[in-house]
Amino acid sequence: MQKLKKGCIILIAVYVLCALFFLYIAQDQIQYTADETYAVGRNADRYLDPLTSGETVEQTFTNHHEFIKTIQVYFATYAGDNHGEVTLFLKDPSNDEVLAESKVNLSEVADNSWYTFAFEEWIDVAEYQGNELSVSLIFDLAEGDTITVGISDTGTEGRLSVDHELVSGWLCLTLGQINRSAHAWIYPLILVVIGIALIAYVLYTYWCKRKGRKNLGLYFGYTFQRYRFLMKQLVSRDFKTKYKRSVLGVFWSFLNPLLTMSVQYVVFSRLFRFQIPNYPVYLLTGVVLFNAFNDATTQAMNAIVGNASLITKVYVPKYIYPISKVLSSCINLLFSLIPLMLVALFTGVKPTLALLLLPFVLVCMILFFIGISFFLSAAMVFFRDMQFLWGVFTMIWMYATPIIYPIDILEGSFLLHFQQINPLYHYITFCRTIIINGVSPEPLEYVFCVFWALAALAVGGLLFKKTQDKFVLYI
Amino acid sequence: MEMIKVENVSMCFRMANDKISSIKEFVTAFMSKKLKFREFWALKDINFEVNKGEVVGIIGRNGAGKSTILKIISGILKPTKGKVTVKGNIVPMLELGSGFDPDLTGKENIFLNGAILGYSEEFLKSKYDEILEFSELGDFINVPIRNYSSGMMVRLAFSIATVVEPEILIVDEILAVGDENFQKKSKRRMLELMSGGTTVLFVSHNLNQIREMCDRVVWLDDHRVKMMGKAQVVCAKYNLDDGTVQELDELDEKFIKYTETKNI
Repeated sequence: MQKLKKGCIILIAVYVLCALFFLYIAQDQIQYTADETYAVGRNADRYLDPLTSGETVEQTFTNHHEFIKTIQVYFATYAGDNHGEVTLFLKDPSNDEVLAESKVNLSEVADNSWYTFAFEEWIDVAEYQGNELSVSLIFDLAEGDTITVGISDTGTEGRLSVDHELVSGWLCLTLGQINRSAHAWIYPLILVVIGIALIAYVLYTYWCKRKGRKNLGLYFGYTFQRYRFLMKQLVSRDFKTKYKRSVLGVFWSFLNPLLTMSVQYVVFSRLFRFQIPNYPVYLLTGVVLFNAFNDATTQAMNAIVGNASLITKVYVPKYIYPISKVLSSCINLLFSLIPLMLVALFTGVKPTLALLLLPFVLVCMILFFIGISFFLSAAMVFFRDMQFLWGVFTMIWMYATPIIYPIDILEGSFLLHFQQINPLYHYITFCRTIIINGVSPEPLEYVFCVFWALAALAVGGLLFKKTQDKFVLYI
Repeated sequence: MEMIKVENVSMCFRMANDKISSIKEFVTAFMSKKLKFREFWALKDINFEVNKGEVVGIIGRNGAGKSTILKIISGILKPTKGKVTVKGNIVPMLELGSGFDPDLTGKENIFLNGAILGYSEEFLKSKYDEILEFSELGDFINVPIRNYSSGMMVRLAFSIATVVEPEILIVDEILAVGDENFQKKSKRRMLELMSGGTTVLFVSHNLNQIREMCDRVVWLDDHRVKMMGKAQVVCAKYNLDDGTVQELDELDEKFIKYTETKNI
């Protein structure tokens, strides 16, 4: 009774803490919609003539958003070195009021590429929604500078002018924009509703306990308490025996992902040259998480068959075996997060508060692994071919998931749509957003993470439960 | 008080023509319609109960269903029909050493095996010295089990299994353990347990042991209960009925005489 009380209070406290934490860290993602790129002119079909000092290039467009975060312009330098400056003004064309400006040294501008003008803070253009705005570039060139901008022949709206004379085409200009979300209020509401449901269930369980009735929560708490020690022993056995007779021992948990990443990094950064910011961390995150998945499921697949001598002699709830296998391989995952963090620090990623979201996604992943392991370990009892099939299957899964390559290269392939329902893609992207970008992912991503964990757990658990009485006859 | 109640328990195994354990075999068998099952009733309509503190022996010939009924009582198998009600915790005496991991040390194995048998951590910690002493392993306790002799392994397993005073103990022929000295010790320990209020289910082919230790005996024959009652009575009847036992005793005597004459 005392323990039940304590367990319930801890459960509710953890939930409240997590909810508040989520609201705090993800406040930007909750309040605003996802970043959007609005293109005035996207492809550089031709260029303006080389620009001279003092010349002004102006492009008007209709504003549809509330905030502008960045402005990108396509430049060409004729492969020369430039030393002058360009200033970008964002104006209201009706009264020439300057909303924002940004001055850039032309030496930073590369040939035939987009340059991103950044601003100190987001530009609030909410009051200009539906109205025209203009972007104008004023060049202040040094001796011998050659520079021009890309022009697109297809565009949506607005006029392009050079020194106030209209020119055909559209400036190659894109805007990174963002809106206030209309659904921000829904997240706290959902969290409160779930919280109330949780409290109600806890009270119901408490009532059941007093009346001596059975209930899933009570059963769960009871078995957890009773078999916790066994679970601990099984996990520590797996972990101890894994590296028992190797020289480096547990050090392999660090070394393994690091070595895999190094090989893949060398191969893929030299051969394919993907345009991914901070490729080492991008790659290592994927490698570490996918290896954890592969390791956990392959180990757990043998959980029932490998413990046959025990299962036929002592009664222990059978689901303990796959769970303990997954947990022991997840200790490895925790160890391999250390080199990941080191590489991240080393490549200049700044640690942010968002890192504290990592436990959330890890717990979801472990639940997902357990669900898959239930299915695999049960299937393995009846069909031993499973171990070979699964090896091939995970390999296919690995190449179908953007682990070594960026997701853009899937453009136009059915694999792009597959990522929507690929749980591993969601988990890996979640971690990458946290680690590399240092911000919380979109609120919808949280739903995906929890959904896949629960779905795998429910399906795997049901199959396991249905077949577990027959295990003894087949092993 | 009834600790174990077995009501109308029947157990049926469906045996496929061959053991099918891969998709290919399954598909080929399914295609050629060879996927027939033969029903095999290992137990038919078994009824008995065991009261608190009783020592009940189960006897019968090989294949009579003794191990099956033990497995059903300890919850490993589910009966096809009927019901088993068990009050209190069951500790099965494992086939020796089956819960051990060869790469762990003796000490680590005590905790692993103890956890499998359902002991709590505090209990094992408090009883650790007792287990170590009983097993007579000394410093070998910190050596990985794969380096143990089979005698050492068996001693450790027995010490772990009997350290607890379970409410129900299930023993499937394990008293021939270790050297003579240890055998005596283990027998004393078993008797201690049995007199200490533990309910014991005991399977053995050794009628002398059964007579010596059990209060009541259940005789299984041809997958049914043939007789149930006082140990002396059932054993006597079993002896009479089952010619093989007598033959075995005669053979034993002959063998002893033979060795005596040969002076071995």
